[in-house]
Amino acid sequence: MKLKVNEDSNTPEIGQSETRSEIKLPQGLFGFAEIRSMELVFDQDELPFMWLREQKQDGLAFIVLEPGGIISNYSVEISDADVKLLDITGPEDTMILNIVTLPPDQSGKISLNLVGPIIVNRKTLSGKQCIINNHEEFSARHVLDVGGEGL
Amino acid sequence: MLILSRKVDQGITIGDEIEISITKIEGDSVKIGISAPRSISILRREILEEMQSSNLAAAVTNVPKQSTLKSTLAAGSAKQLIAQMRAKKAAKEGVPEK
Repeated sequence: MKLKVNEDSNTPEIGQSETRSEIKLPQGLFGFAEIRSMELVFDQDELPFMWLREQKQDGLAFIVLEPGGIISNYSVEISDADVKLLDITGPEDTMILNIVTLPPDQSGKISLNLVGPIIVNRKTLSGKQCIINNHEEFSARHVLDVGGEGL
Repeated sequence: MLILSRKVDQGITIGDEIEISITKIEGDSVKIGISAPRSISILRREILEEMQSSNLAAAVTNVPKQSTLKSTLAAGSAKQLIAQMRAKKAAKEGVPEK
């Protein structure tokens, strides 16, 4: 299934009034196979950035964002097996979360993993980190060009 | 691990649905053909390793107690992107930007 990234899909639709939602990750994440669920937390003032973090003290956390309107020409092709596993039917019920890497010194550039997004079914809130079929078109360390890109 | 010796044009079958054939050998590089159902994910190992190291690099330790990203996102470009998203949203809603 090919999902064209909707320009306007960068506002989380899950729990609009809430600031957190539990995302089930039955298969864990690459390098963190033991993870089973994390919460997606966001503050309106900090969008597009959101936290995906473990619901425990000193747990694992990632900064993620929805790529819509941020990465121009980004599309993800998800394998039939993953479409079936996640029970998604199209872009409307699919949330794409790209993991953000911040430079350790907080001065350099932000990079995004466009190759292995976390794909979440908005209805069931179940997700999986998928390597997209069209991974050769994108970088796992895509540097965010804040000046020009898609904005 | 099962290790088999194969020559060019010879193959291996795995179960009923997966077939692997050696199509070409050139120096230290081997071309392998794989037929498998679409539901089976076939990836170069490097890409999996890249995902693992990317996740490790992205993992944030010492998360602030509150849900705030502010301290972590002090980086200039992050701040800039937040401002741009806000401006864009404001423009769309016809609300003048603060």
